[in-house]
Amino acid sequence: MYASPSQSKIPAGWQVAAAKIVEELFPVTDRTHWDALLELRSAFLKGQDWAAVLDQFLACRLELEQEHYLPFYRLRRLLTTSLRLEVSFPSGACHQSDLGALLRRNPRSLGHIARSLRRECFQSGSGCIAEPSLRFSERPGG
Amino acid sequence: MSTQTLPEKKTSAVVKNLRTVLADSYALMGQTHLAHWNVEGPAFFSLHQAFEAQYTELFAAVDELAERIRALDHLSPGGLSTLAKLSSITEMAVDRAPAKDFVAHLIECNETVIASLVALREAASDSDPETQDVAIKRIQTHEKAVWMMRAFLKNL
Repeated sequence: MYASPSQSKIPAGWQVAAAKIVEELFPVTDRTHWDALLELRSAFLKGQDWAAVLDQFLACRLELEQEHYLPFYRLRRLLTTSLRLEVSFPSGACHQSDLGALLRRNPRSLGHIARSLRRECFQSGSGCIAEPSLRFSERPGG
Repeated sequence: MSTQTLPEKKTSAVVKNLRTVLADSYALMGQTHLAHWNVEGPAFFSLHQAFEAQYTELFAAVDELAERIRALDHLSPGGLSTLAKLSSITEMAVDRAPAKDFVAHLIECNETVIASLVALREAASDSDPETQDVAIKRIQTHEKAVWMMRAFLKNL
């Protein structure tokens, strides 16, 4: 049901679970949101570009979380337990960041996350002024 | 006259499920207590009290479940570490979080307990109506808790 000719990788259990959560939103949301939800569902199942998945998730969350808090909490939990975030600054500094804590702050987009991390780095006295690059990868066994 | 009222094979399936329900209920009680302590925000007073009512009810419930295991002539598991190993409930990170996150987390924990109780109800269905009755009552309690918490999450 979830395979397509263009997919070379079978989606992991959590990806299928996330797609099902998104599917539950269709009957209870206005059809103006369906294109975005279809994109999000497809992104979860393809699992090829996690940054794009996060960006699409954040866009849908911005529009729909207030009315549908529980589904977006479940999606946030799945993302937090299944993906990890590596943050690298142009200076060469690199570290893993707590994706759960970042998502709890309700960022509007990945750009918002990057700017927030830059601000924290600057405030810590490291002097960094350039935005970091964000790299998402699947946790082993996730 | 035999003192054994149920065939051993059927008792073990029921007891195995009872142990899981006990462990999940104990874990839920702990998570509810955590939410009671750490919830913050405009809804603090109502949630703080609601969570207290929930974990107080759970405290009595875990006792009932453990004593049902004993009534079936099996030893009950106990202790934080032992019960944590038997439970599939994931603990919430100790961190500041929106009040709605605490509510959503507890909804998910209650759903886990309901799933364990449904398995117990099925295991007890043809051999142990008394345990089945316990499971049915607990399912009703947890479903009521889930309804109330879902109502809180609605944006009205």
